[in-house]
Parts: sequence; C-alpha cells; structure tokens
Amino acid sequence: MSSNSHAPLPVDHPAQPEKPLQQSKSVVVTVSDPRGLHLRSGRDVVRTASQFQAQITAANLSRNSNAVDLKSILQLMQLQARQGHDLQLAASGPDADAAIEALCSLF
Amino acid sequence: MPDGKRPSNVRSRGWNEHRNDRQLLFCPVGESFVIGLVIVSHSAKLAAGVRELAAQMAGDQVGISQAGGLSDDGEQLGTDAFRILSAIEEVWCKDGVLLLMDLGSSVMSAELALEMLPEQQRQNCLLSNAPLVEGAIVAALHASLGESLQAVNAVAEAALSTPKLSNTG
Repeated sequence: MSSNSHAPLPVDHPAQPEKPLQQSKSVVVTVSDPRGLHLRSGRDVVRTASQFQAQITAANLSRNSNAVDLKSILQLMQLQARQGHDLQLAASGPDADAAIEALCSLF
Repeated sequence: MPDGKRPSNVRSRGWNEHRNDRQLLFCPVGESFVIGLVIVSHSAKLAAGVRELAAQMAGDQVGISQAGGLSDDGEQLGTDAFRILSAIEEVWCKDGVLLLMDLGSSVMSAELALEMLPEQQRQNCLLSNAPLVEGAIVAALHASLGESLQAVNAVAEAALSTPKLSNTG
C-alpha cells in the first residue's frame, strides 16, 4: 500500500526490542558493617556489579548525595557510607532485577 | 515485503547493536586479559604499601611488582631504571604491563626502563598518567576483572577527575 513509500526498515523501532532492556529496579539498603562501606567491601560490590550488563547506581540517602556509578570503586568511596546509612541502589538494563538481588546481600 | 517480517528483522538488529555496545562498555564477556602492574615510587616503603593495597583489590589474580627507592634495604630514596626494568620482567604478561609512578623522576626512570626493553615488549608496556594510590587500586581491581591494558589504564586515569570528597548536593 502507500506505506511502501516509507523506509523499509525503520531505524527507530524501539517498542519491541527495547522492552527487555528497560527493566529497572530500585531498593534501599542499610549499611551493616561497623566500619562502613570500606575499600574491601567496595571491591566486592564493584566485582559483583561488573558481572551485570545493567547500569547500576547508588546514592547515599543519609548524606543526601548524588547517585554514583556502582561499577567504579572511586565513586563508591565517594558515598562515604557509614554503618546505618541508607543507600538507594538503582539498576536499569536487561538483568537489572538479578543485579539488585545479588548486590543486596553485600550491604 | 510481508508486513510480518519487519518487526523480527528490526528486533534482531536492535538486539545485536545493544549487545555489542554493552560488551564494549561494561563486560568483555568473550575476551579476558591478563596484565601485570608495576608500582614505581621514590620510596621503597611507599611502593610496598601501595602494592599491598593493590594486591588486596586484585586478590592474587594479578601480578603486581614494585620498584621503590635506590637500595633493597629501602634506606635510599630515589628511582632507578634498572630496578624498574626487573620489576617489569617480574610480572611480564603478553597482554601487557601497566606502570604506575608517583611523580617526577619516577616517570623519567620508567621511560628509561622502557627504552631498555626489546621493542616487542616495549610495545606492550604503558606508562599511566593516573595518581599512584587511586590509580593502583582501580587498576588492580579492573585488571582482576580481566580487562585489557588500555581499558584498565583508562579507568585508572579517570581517577584524575574523581574527587575524594563526596558530591553531596
């Protein structure tokens, strides 16, 4: 029909393929370690986060900080999270749910 | 062209594009690299301390050597190209060696050490512009994740623009 005059393969056709990629999940965790979120525990967080394709951020609600990239050890240290601080973890991507689930157990 | 075919074509193209982007940026799934790290400092004690920190981040999965001071007893401060050269050889990997220096003549001695290496080895060595402590910590962690020499250096050098204090807003 007249639709033949349009490009045969629309470049922007996000509706179907994007759906699984837009999975997003957010939780609040409380730091339980008496020494807070330190280098070694931060290392384990980055290691775990790096196994997922999702983009993952964390914000320290107790310090009212901006969200930082959870795959960066230096940004993670910027949170300066002490014991009892609440961190908001947010993930978006195809495996966001699994990423959040894996990360929650580390705090 | 039947209408039913369009979505499936588009879907597979879209998925592949995303997949490739993400693999490049976040997870080198198929390819894993093994690189070595060399810590260079005027002070043997500083080099040893930074190496200790880096080793804790890498968890025994990355070869890390140190070249600090002018003597084995750590009494004389300074940098020596031959000590750096043997530190490079100690952790030599075919995927490359990243050198992290404190400053000043550490950089010049590291350059000299590279000049003493055979051409083929020299091509796989990289002097990092990263700050020593932060750079070593980041590099060790990302090297242990199997990232390439260039990728590890890129995240280590990003430490130059990452403030230590929180970005409380």
